[in-house]
Amino acid sequence: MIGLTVESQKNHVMVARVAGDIDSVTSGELRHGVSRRLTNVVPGLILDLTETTYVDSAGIEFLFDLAERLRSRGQRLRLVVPLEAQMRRVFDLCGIEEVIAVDATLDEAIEALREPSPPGAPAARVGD
Amino acid sequence: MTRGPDDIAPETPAREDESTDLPGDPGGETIVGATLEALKLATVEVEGERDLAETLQRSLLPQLPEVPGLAIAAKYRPGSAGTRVGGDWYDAIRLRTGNVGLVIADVVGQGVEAAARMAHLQSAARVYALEALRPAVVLERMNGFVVEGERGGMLTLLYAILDPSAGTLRLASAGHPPPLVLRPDQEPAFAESPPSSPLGVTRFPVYEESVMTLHPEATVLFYTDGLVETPKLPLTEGLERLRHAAKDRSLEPEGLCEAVMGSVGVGSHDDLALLAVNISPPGETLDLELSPQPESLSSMRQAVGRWLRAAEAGEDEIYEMLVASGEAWSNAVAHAHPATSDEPFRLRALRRGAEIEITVSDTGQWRPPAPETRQGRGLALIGELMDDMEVYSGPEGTTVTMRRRLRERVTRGGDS
Repeated sequence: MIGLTVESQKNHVMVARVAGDIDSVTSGELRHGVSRRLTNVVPGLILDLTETTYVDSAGIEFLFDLAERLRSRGQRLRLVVPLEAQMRRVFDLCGIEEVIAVDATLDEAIEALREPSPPGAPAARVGD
Repeated sequence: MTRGPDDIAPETPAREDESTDLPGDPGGETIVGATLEALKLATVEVEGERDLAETLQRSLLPQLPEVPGLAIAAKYRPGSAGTRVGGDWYDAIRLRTGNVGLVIADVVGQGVEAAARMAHLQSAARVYALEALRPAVVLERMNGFVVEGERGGMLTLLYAILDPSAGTLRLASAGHPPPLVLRPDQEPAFAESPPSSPLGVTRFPVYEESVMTLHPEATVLFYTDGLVETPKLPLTEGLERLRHAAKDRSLEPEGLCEAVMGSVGVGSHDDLALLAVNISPPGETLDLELSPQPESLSSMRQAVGRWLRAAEAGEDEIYEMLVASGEAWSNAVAHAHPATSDEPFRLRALRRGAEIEITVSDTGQWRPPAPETRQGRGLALIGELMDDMEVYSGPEGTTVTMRRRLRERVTRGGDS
């Protein structure tokens, strides 16, 4: 089962908290749930995976797709993954951090999105 | 079906001291003759309704779900006297959370009417359970349903949520006796269940929940009160009799239901329902048959996770092997079957010393995925997360075998 809670920060940054497992069954629901709420006015999205218990390759694919879509729309994406989370190993293996910025806490992610992104820079791409 | 003398003389003649009430005892021959005629007619009618009620009841009782890591069995026996059929039901429902909702209930009343009412109530309970509501809330909603929307008398109902991976049972009861919990090393004991009123008695009842952690090999037995309460047997005595009957029995649900029905059910004229659930101990090997339906993915993870935990794998090792198993599962679903196929595939896990081997086999043909696709990424992940992986594809199907050596545990007394 998967849960999605979405709220907006003052600066329209959207925070989406995902609870549960992201797998080949739930990633479709998640994709739908996130994109329905992702309007053009949103400058950036923080996907908070603190409560996420499991991510498999379908989840990874969802994240890559999401990053790609946001990049093409000039919107920024950051993930929140606690340092001790088991999924970090899988993220490393799939090279998530080469494409999407990952923070350990929500505060750090919010702070990072306060800084304006350089104009014309690929918004979601941080590590290269 | 003809009614033999057994129906009039109960199977427990030792306690039959109200026999003066039996028909046919007083009066002269003509009265006896007339009574016999009337009795025959009534019997035909009663048999008709009884058969109908029984057929209805049986067709309404649910099919039990297959839940990896759990063994579930149930038994229903219609009452022996008159139209004592209908009203008792059990249910086991797989919830989205991976937990299992367990219902046992007894509707007051008998015959076709009670059976029909049961059908109503059973669906309502199912709906509330499927919302993954807590037991006390399910009872409150059911009470509202009975009080507001339903004509008819009260019923007792017990609803419990079993979490197979944590081994916990959370229950709330509306006037229904508590389940009996059996474990290998102790006498059977009744679960704690706060006293409460049946459904349909008051408008705003309060139901309390109790939570218990089950022994890893426990069996929980739910029953209807025909089993413990008969006109001749007060509840406390009935409970004690049930506890005694369940003592030293196999914890295997099917056999347990059979045995309990056989020994306690005798002499009871009420209808009886039994539902038993065993949280089977993870053995040396795990053998799962999985449907290619999406729902089986999370239950597969639950069963494999439980098994790996019992095999003393660390939490990080468990997580990574679950991802690998999930990828193999996705592959089997995506590649092996035509989209319409319902043919199950198997997952086997076994431990050899410190090494865990997991195989996923299906009956389909393998197409090697392109590396940049999700399937390709999944396979690459298996390769990274496990020590080795082999794919064997033949005319019979495809088998993915994955192995990983567990980290050494200091506490373990060496490999065997």
